Parts: sequence; structure tokens; C-alpha cells
Amino acid sequence: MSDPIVVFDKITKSYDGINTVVHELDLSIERGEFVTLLGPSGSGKTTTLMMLAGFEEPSGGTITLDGRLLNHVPAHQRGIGVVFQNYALFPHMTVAGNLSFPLEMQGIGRSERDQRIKAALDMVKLGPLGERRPAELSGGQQQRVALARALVFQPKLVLMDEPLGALDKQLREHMQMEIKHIHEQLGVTVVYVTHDQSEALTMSDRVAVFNQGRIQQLASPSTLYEEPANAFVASFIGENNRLVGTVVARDDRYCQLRLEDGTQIEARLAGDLAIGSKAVLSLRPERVRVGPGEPDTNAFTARIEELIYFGDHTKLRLSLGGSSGFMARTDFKDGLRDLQRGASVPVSWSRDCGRALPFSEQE
Amino acid sequence: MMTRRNLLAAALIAPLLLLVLVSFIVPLGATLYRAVEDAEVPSILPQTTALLKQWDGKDLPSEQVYHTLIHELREAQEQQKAGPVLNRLNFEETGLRSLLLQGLRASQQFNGSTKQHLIALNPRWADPHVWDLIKRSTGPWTPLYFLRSVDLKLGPGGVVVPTADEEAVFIKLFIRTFEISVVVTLICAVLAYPIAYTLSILPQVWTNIGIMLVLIPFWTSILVRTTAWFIILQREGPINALLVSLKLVDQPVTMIFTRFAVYLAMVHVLLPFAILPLYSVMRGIKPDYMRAAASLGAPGWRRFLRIYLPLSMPGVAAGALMVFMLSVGFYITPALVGGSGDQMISYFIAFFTNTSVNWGIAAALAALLMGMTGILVAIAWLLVPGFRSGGVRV
Ligand SMILES: Nc1ncnc2c1ncn2[C@@H]1O[C@H](COP(=O)(O)OP(=O)(O)OP(=O)(O)O)[C@@H](O)[C@H]1O
Ligand SMILES: [Mg+2]
Repeated sequence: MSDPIVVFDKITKSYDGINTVVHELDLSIERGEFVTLLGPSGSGKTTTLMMLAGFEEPSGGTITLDGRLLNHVPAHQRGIGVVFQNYALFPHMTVAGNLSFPLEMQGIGRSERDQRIKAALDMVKLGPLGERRPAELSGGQQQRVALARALVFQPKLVLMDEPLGALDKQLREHMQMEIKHIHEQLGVTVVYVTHDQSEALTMSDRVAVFNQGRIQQLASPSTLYEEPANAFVASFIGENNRLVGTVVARDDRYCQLRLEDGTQIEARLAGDLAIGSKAVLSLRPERVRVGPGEPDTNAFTARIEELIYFGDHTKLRLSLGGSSGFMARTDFKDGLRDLQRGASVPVSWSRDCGRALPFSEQE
Repeated sequence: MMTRRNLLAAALIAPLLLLVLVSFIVPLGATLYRAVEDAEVPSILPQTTALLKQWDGKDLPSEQVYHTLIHELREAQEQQKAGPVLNRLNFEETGLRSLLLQGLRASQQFNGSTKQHLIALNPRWADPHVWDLIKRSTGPWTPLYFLRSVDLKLGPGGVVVPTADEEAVFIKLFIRTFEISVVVTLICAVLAYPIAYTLSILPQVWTNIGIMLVLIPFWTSILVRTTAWFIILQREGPINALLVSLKLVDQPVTMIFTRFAVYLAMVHVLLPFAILPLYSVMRGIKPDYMRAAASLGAPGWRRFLRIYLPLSMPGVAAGALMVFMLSVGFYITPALVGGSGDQMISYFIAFFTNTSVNWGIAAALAALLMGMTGILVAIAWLLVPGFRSGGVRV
């Protein structure tokens, strides 16, 4: 069933022999999968990608591609397409020249080259621009050329390091869809790096969340969002309320948390929490119901500290459980248009929406 | 419409324009003017000049012309002003000076017709071509200096003909000048490339030290550095002492006053001019280009040939241009360490300016040197990829 194309086995990397930037990384990528490495700046995403591409050597561990040990295979013999953040299009060649380069390296004849260049340009909707220089293209067009160049020699694996980072929001969202479609159409395996979580969630089959050189969680976007494995993932993916408390009661699915001000909250267990241990309640703002209605398991009255208007919804900053940074989100389905700063509102949420995670000091 | 911004820009550029005008266009104009101006004979022999303007150029001139020429020349000689005229006429054709001096000396004893006395003294006075030559020197303009700069002159009847072999030196000189410059430029480019590349990939600390090592000689006067080579390359100098003591040679090797010495010293002086632009271009070549090429399947040598070399070409071009332009005008270095067969055109420009005081030929040689250099650079501009951006990558 499982047919991994790339396997990282205990990969460690240190540039200077002192600071380890990637720690014993295990990662297995299925054929045809779209895997995103997501994480804050400096978490080791690019380093991991560069080791796979062959531009950096691992300090320890092994990487295999299609069962072949890659550690000592030079980059030019790996057959992996790479899209660079700044595209790295050869400025002295035309667009067609750039696309022709990998085909020439493979010794492909003129007529087939021309055919494949044309097909690649059509795929990224740049048909008539073959004779332009990269400098004569817009950022979005350059991005498409970079994409076409990484795909034109039909690699089994394509790596992309923040390929959309330089584009504006609208174009970025458009290109996300296009890349996704190309991936589906070609069935190529993609390893994608970004620090934009919405990009990671919309595009990927699976996302590996990096922090400090370690994979915190490797899972599908919905699992990441709904069931973050730890507090870092919970806070990194989407917006999140974090309330710290102590476990005072539990059964095998739920527990009771007591916050410092004495508030008691019931939440789903998302880790092994003994009674008396410290825990973090993780709760998405959109799961909080604002206003009257069927009271849920957890129902409180909170003071409105701030209203932030977004058009299709409004965010409320509330005082609750001893914290004045509790966020809730409402789209006014329940009426209540005349909310005022300083007023009190009823808020509630189901015990299934709050997740109790083990507390870790480093956060 | 002239906006405030435009005005401001114009005001900022104006001093620069003035500088270019004063330091470049004016001297250039003066040089060109010198090269074609012909003022000696008309200013010192005005009456002869006026009379010769009316001469038909076929038959011998009249007695009056002979007489006026000798008379004005003698007056000039008494006022110590005959030198430039005699030089000018002798440059028109070698031998005219002695012919005139002979006539001047003999003219003390002339009584009666100056024309007949002169013809009796030297039959050349009966040759209309002599008068043709004198008439040609009466200005106000002359092509003589430019023609001579390319080993041509005006023969009888105003036809352009090659100069006599023993006077035909300038084309050889130009060829030698460009040959030395091209060789020096090639050596500099070949040496500078790996040096600049190494500097561009070293860690910053080492790069700074390396750049210092390049710049220290660069800041030292050319004269000092050339003199150092002059001493080092002597027959009894340190290199020969070393070679002999190591028994690598029996006899000291002749190095000073050879072409080898000229190449060595010029390359040493000019190398930084090739390294610095190359280094700055190479520094700007992002490693991602080479990584991209590798990921696309190019092994090291193909990455170099297809990507790195073309991307560094503007630096090669800028450095080579600089070295070539400076080489073409080199003077001190070949003069000190080269032999008589290694002197470049600037040596002769200096010689004609200072020693033989023939500013016309000096100016013509200088203008021609500039013109030819310009043409060669224009050809390079058209042929060498990357040259056009002048070292600036887009
Ligand atoms: N060439 C290098 N030499 C030394 N240290 C490096 C080098 N490249 C990266 N690092 C360090 O390794 C760590 C991980 O860097 P990396 O570039 O992999 O992060 P990243 O996750 O890609 O971050 P970003 O989102 O900012 O691109 C960082 O602390 C960085 O300073
Ligand atoms: Mg990165």
C-alpha cells in the first residue's frame, strides 16, 4: 500500500558543528503526494529541502529517493526539479532558453526539445512569451517560468521553496490553485516549503509542521487544524485561545480544568493528562458562540474589551477566565448588532471544541 | 515643460558637464586643431606666403619669390626665429633644411639675380617640386601630420604616396602598441579571473584581506612599481642572483630591456584594474543560479560554461576595457624596462612634444591613437556579449 518515494531517516544537520538546525528528522513522502514543510522562520525548512536537492550534505542520517541512497549523489544526478524563492531564472537566456537548458543537459534532440518547451509554456499559460528575457516579465510570469523549468524535464519529484513569497495576495492565491492543478494533472510528487499556514492548508495532502529543527506534527490539513498534536501546532495553525490551568478531574475522554481565577472548563483530552498536572486549553475563536442560545457545556459571561470589524465577521476581545485576550468570532447570526465595548455578553462552547493539551515550559 | 525637478537635475549635472568640457572636450579639440594647423611659414614668412599663393605651380616662380624667400629667412634668422620654419619645411621633406641653410649662407655674396645664384648653387632650385613643397607649407591647414602618422605623404602633384621605407615607422609603432596592449589585456584577464573568483567565494574576512593585497600595489605609484621591476630584473639583480646561485642557469639571463620585462611590469601594474570589476560582478552572481543549473542536470563544467562564464562576462569586459585603454597609453613602463624595440606610441608622442618640439605630429599621433582605440572598443562592444552593460548586470 505505502509506496514512499523519499525517505529521510534520522537526518541531522549542523552548519558549524555547534548548532544543530535539523534534529534526527524522519520523514516519508508517498509517491504523488503534495507535502508541505510549514514552520516559523529559521525552523530548518530550507535546510531540509536543500539536503534533499543535494545542495547541502546531511551531518548524519540517510536520505533515499526511490530506494536509492542519495547522500553522496551530486545534485545534478538527482533528477529533482527545484523552484527557488527568487526563481533563479538565467538572466542571459530567453524563457525558451531557460526551459531548453535541462533538456539539453539530458541530450534531447532539437525537435523534441521545442515540442516539450511549447507544451510546458502552454501548461503555465505563457505560450507566446518564449522569446522574452526573464527581466522583461512580471513577477507572476517569472514564477510561472520557474515552475515550467522545474517540470519540463519530467522529474519525479519537485521541490519548491516559498515559490509564491514574492507575489501579492491575490496572485498568490491564484497561483496556489494553479500549482495544485498542475500537481494533480501530472501526478508528480511535490515537497513545498512555506511559512504561510493558509497556503499549507489549502494546497497540501499532508503538512509537516517544523519548529526548531524538529517536525512537530505530520498530518493532513484537517487533522492539523482540528487535532493539533501539541500546543505549538495549535497556536501556529490558525487562531487559537490558550488558557492555562490544572486538571482537577477526568474520565477517558474529557477532563475538568481549573484556571488560576477558579473558572472551571470542561474539555476533550488531547494527550495523557494526570489529575493535578498543568494543561493548556486550546480553543478556536470561531468555535465560541457569542450571544444567547442553547447553552453549551461551557457557558460564561464575558466583558467586551475590544471590537474588531472585518465586514463578513467581527472579532471580539473578551475578558474571561482571568485573561483579557480571549478571542471570539461572530458573524451576527444570533442578532446582537449593538454590541458595545465594556458590555457583558454570554459566551459558550461545546466541550468537544476545547482541547486540553499537556503544558510545556518552552512556549 | 521644464519642471522644478528637471531644473534641479540640470543644475546638479551642470558642474559635471563643465568638468567634461574643460578636462576633455577642450583639450581634445586643441589636440585636433594642432594636428591640422599650419602656422609656422605664414607667420614668419608672410610675404613669401602671399607671393606663393599667386604662383601657378607649373613653371618656376619669378625672381621676386626667390628673393623674398631668402630675404625673409635671413631676417628671421637674425631674430632667432628661423628654427620652427626650417623644422616645418624639413618635416615636409627631409633635406629642405640643408638646401635652405646652404642658400642662406651663400646669399651674403649674391649680387644680381637671387634665382640664378641659387640655381647655380644647387640644381634643386630649378625643380618646381621644391617650390611645391614650400607652397604646401603656407597653411592655414595641412594634412601632412595625419598622413605621416600612417606613413603616407603628398608626392609631386599632390598625390598621396607611401613615405620612404626608412621614414615609415608609425604604422609599425601602432601595430606594436596594440599588440602589446592586447597581450597585456589577455594576460590580465586570464590571471584576474581565478583571482577574482577566489576572492568572491572566500569568507568575508579573507576577502577583505585579499582585496587589501590587491589594492596596496594599486595605491603605489606606477613609477615606483616600475622602478622596482627595473632593479629586480637587472643582470646583477636579485632574480638572476637567485637563478645563478640555484645553478638553474650558468649565465645571468637578460631580462631587463626585453619585451618580457615590459609584459611583466605592465601586467603587474594593470592587474588590479582587471580584478576589481570582475570581483564586483562575480560577487553579485547569486549561488542560486549555479544551484538551479545543477538541479537541472548540469555537471560542474557545463554550469561554468553555460551559466557562470556568461554571467561574469560583463566583469571580464569591463576589466579588459580598462586594462586595454590604460595599456594603449603606457609610456613610463616600457621606457624604463623595455628595449628600443618595445617602445609604444606614447613614447614617441612624448618625444615629439618634449624633445623634437614637433607638436603637429605629436597631436596627430595622439588623435589617431584615440580614434583607433575608439574603433577597437566599438568593435568589442558589438562582438563581445555582456560588453554593452559595461559591467552592470540587469
Ligand atoms: N548556510 C548556512 N550557514 C550557517 N547557518 C545557516 C545556513 N543556512 C541556514 N542556517 C541556519 O540554519 C537555521 C535554519 O535555517 P533555514 O534556512 O533552514 O530556515 P527556514 O525554515 O527555511 O527559515 P525561513 O522561513 O526564514 O526561510 C537558521 O538558524 C539559520 O540561521
Ligand atoms: Mg527558508
